[in-house]
Formats: sequence, structure tokens, C-alpha cells
Amino acid sequence: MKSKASRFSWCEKACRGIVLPSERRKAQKELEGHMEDKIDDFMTMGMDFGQALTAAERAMGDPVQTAEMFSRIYPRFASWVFIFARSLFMSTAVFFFVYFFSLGYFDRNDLFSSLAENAAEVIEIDGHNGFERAGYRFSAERAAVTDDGTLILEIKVSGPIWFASPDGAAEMLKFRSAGGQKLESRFEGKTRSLFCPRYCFAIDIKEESLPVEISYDFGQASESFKVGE
Amino acid sequence: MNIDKSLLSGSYGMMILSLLKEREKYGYQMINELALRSDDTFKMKEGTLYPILHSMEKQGYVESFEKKTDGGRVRRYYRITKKGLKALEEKKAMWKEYLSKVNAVMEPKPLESRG
Repeated sequence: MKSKASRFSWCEKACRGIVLPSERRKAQKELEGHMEDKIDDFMTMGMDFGQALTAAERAMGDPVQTAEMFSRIYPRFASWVFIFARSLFMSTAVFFFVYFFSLGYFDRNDLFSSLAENAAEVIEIDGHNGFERAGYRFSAERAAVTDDGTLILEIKVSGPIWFASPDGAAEMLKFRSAGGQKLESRFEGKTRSLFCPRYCFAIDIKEESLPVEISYDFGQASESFKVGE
Repeated sequence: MNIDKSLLSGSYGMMILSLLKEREKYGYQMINELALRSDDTFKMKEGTLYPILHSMEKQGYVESFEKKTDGGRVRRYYRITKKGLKALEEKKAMWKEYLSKVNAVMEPKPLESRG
């Protein structure tokens, strides 16, 4: 017995004129059902399966001509526009799904916690702090002062330029003491969050260094906010 | 009886709608009934029927739905819509008009009988 694919090759050829997979499947299924009925009838008349299939295919006409007729009913251009629009919609939906979750804390790894493990207290910082500069928003998420006088700071960088890596922008952050002195900082790493990575810095401070002013210098302009007030 | 294909084009749609006016049918049924009722004059090929059915469905003259038979086979049935009924009446009227004009040319009445 012939395989299903070869049994219904007529139907498959005839439906090639339909671009949209859902419409093509629907039409093909319908034609296959029809062909099965026809084969059954021919077999009832005494033919074996192979003869019945050949007779059914002959009776159903030229599949190429049928495909041309279908292609006039289901215009190719409109179908491709539909497929393109649907793909665009789906990829946008997937993007926003990922983006939505990346805005949350799902990927907030414990780099900060491990750096601040011997700190007496972790301060959750008001999310409204920070500033926007050069297309990015900089805001401090958490801060902790360890026993050895190191300020561990977790800074979130996000912004409308979501497709560009903010690593370069994060490197341009500067830290100053309350008295305006530049503080030495070490970049400790970042979380893997896709669009809003969080950067951890370790800053050597003394008590009089607080509050620490975090600034981003770009060209002649400068923006800053304070942590530890 | 062999009929010129150009005479058939356009009339298939009307015949299919007429069949569906009676009750819902699936493709195989339509082909068989067309052949039976016309003494095998209208032996429609499947490759012709289904594009016509799909075209009429797109135009809103018919609607289709799947139905499972007793044997477990799923068939797509078609039924005529209100729009299809209206289109059928219009096509019928046009067809009658066309036939009367063809007859008038082919078999002209004597001049005196026309008044």
C-alpha cells in the first residue's frame, strides 16, 4: 500500500496555490477526504487500491490547474502580507514578554548579596532616585556598607535605547564623597538581566564620605544623585 | 452530450448554489448529484469544484463546516447563506433572460406573431 504522502500527492500539488499554511491544510484535508471517497467507490467497483488511486487522480483533473485556480482565490501577495504581519506581531509579543520580565527581578542574581554578606544592613533604595542621561536611566537599587568600610552599590541601568548594551555607560559612572572628593571604585560585575542589567560597584569609603554622590559625566553636562543620606 | 466549456463557465456556480438551496452537501455529493441530474452532461472535476466552492465561501455565498460521519470520516459540508440565496435568484433571472434572448435569435417567431 502506498504511503499517505504519495496517496495524497495530488491533493498536495493542488493546494500549492494556497500560501497560508492554515488555509492550505484546510483545503488539503478536504481534498484528501474527497479522494478517499472516490477511491472507496472505485474499489467497490472491483479495482485494487493502486488502480483506484490512479483512476481517482485522473478523475480529479490536473492538480497544477487546480493550484492556479486556488492561487487566484487566495492571492499570494495578500497572504504573504498576512504572514509577515502575523510574524511581526508574534515576534513583538515575544519581545515584550521577555522585556516585561527583564524589567522585573527574575534575573536579579545574588552578586550583590554575596558582596554584601558581612554587611550589617542592606538598604533598599527608593526606585525614584537616579537620573536619565544619554538615553539611559541610572538608579541605585540596593546599598550596603561592609565591616571593612566598603560601600557595595547596585546600580540599575535601563532606558529607551534598550537594544544597546549599557556596559559602556555604566563604566562612565563616577563616585564622589560628600566633600566632593573622588572615591576609588571597583566594578565587581553585573547581573545577566537582558535589558536592565544591574551593576555592582565596591567603593572604599570612610564615614565622612557619606552620602556618596554618583554622577555620570558626558561631555560638558553632568547628572548625579546621592546614596546614604 | 458534450457541451462547449465556455458555455459552462459561470453556470457552475449557479448550479452549485441551486443544489445547496435544497440542503447542505459535501463536495463529493455535489459532483455526483450534478452528474446524475444532468444524465452525465455535467461531470464536474474536483479540481474545478473546490476552487469554485472556496471562491463562493470567500464571497459569502456559502459557508462550510466539518461534520463527522458514522464511519468516522470528517467531511466539510457547505450550506447556502442569505447572500447566496439572493445571488442565486439574481443569477437565475439573468440566466432566464439570457436563454430567452438566445432562443429569440435561434428560433425567431414569425413577424406577424410579434404584433
